[in-house]
Amino acid sequence: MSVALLFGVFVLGLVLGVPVAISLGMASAAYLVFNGMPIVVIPQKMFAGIDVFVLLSIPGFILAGNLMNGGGITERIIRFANAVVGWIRGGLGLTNIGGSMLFAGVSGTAVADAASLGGVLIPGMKKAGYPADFSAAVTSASSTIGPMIPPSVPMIIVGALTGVSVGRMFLAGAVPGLLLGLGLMITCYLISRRRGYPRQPWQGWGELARAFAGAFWALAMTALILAGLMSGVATPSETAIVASLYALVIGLFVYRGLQLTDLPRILFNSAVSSAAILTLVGFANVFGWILASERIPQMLADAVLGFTDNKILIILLLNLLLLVVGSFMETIAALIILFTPLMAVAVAVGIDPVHFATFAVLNLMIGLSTPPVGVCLFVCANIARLPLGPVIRAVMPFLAANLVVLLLVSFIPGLSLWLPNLVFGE
Amino acid sequence: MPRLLSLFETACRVVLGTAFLVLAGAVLLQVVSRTFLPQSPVWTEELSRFALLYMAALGAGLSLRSGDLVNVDLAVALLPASVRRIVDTLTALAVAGFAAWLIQPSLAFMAIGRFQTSPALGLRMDWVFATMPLVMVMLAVFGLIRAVDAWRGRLPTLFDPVEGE
Repeated sequence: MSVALLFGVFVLGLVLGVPVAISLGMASAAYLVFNGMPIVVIPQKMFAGIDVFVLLSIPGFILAGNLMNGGGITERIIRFANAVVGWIRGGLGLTNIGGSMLFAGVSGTAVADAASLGGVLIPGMKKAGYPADFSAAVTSASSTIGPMIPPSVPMIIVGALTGVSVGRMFLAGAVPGLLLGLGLMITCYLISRRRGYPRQPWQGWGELARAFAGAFWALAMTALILAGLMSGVATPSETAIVASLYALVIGLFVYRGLQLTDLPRILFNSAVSSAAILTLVGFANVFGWILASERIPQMLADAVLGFTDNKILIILLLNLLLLVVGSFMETIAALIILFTPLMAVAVAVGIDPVHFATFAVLNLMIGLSTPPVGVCLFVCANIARLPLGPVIRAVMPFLAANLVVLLLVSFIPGLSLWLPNLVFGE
Repeated sequence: MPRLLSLFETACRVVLGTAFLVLAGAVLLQVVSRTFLPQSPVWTEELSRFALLYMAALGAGLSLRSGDLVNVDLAVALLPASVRRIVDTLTALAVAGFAAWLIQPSLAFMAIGRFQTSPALGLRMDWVFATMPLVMVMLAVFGLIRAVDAWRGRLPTLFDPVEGE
């Protein structure tokens, strides 16, 4: 009964447009009041949820991405991607996907990826003769790559939830991230060839070299972040802050797109984005604590395992559940609430926690481009000035490509485990 | 009143930015001292964690107003504009009321901290636990502001195309 109240209030809040974080808080409060439990549990569990060492790295990574963006990274990444793949049929679509892969190494969230690249590439693709719906669809689908290739805010949250090191989680996403890019590029190429989308002339090795030199400092930041985490010397928060400092220097003195007067605004916006994530983490932690005290994780695990203990079937079930949840719910809230219960199921049938975490995050990221509530779909349709309908139709083939990669990642543990095990040992 | 409000918002921004700089500074000091100095101070990790809590507390309200604190507006978007305005205003008021209701329990939580001190900085923990009443006050104040925004039909839309530059 009280659990029904918990979920009822939560869903009601969501439907009425109450922020996800506050809906979680209201639902928890309703549960506590109904059971005559002290309300002081809310600030207590919220505090405990935010006061987590690993979360310290979130503001730093967000700031680093915003500084790089303000420094003029977007144009340079696009130019480089265009020099590499722009001459192939459907070149700007491929550039969009390649750009997402490179941008993923700077930013940690899918929405930042969709907004930054989409702002430049969707108008650019329309001008070059691509249909607006196709342009928006490519941008949305490829933003899925953002949080798979490090750095990644969702992977940091997983690290906070499981105690797996952030470096290991970052590396686990890398190969699946590259696979996503490859799958989307193949899809884009096939569609473009059939519909006769344009391509640009090959611009020569000289342009390729110049474009690489331009994008080099952005690529170096990804390398810096990975090196920091892999060395075992620096903590994730230290790596994030050093990356911010690096982005600051590059933006001010190398790219020179950054003005000193921009800095307060960028610092402030990054701080507000981080605070929004932390507030969500805090309220979600209260909700998660209630679920745990109601033994929901164990009940869910028992229910699933009572139904089947077939590993293949369970992986499919987990994917289905996460995809549905991911297309309706905010990523971080979904992770904090569902991750622990579902991991109990996964581990019970012998799935490695890091492997499970990788395909869980991938599911939720694909959810961001899945109708009806995919945030990235909204962002891209908004930039393309289109209603959602045509963008949803156009995204379908790309979604199919992402689902193929999802199945590969779910059933071949090596895709997520090989790289982290190579670097950090088993 | 609008001037007082914008003054308050500016003050929040400045303190929020300062908390971020303290976090960054503490973490940088940690890196520099470990790399170049024989000994590194033990209090940097604690200070950066406290700065993070203050960032969350100070920024929560601002993120509520800016729309960074995401909501799902799929259902309310189906409503006619006039009805939606009323629903948005009422939800914002509900958020403000909920946060205001949590101020008292949060103060009770803060009071627990009086009897604890942080191990490295020797700070009395109620100064840190104070972030919880603070976050509720901020959410309550900015929830009210958001209600006014909603009533005037001026809710900011996150992900404006112009912002995507």
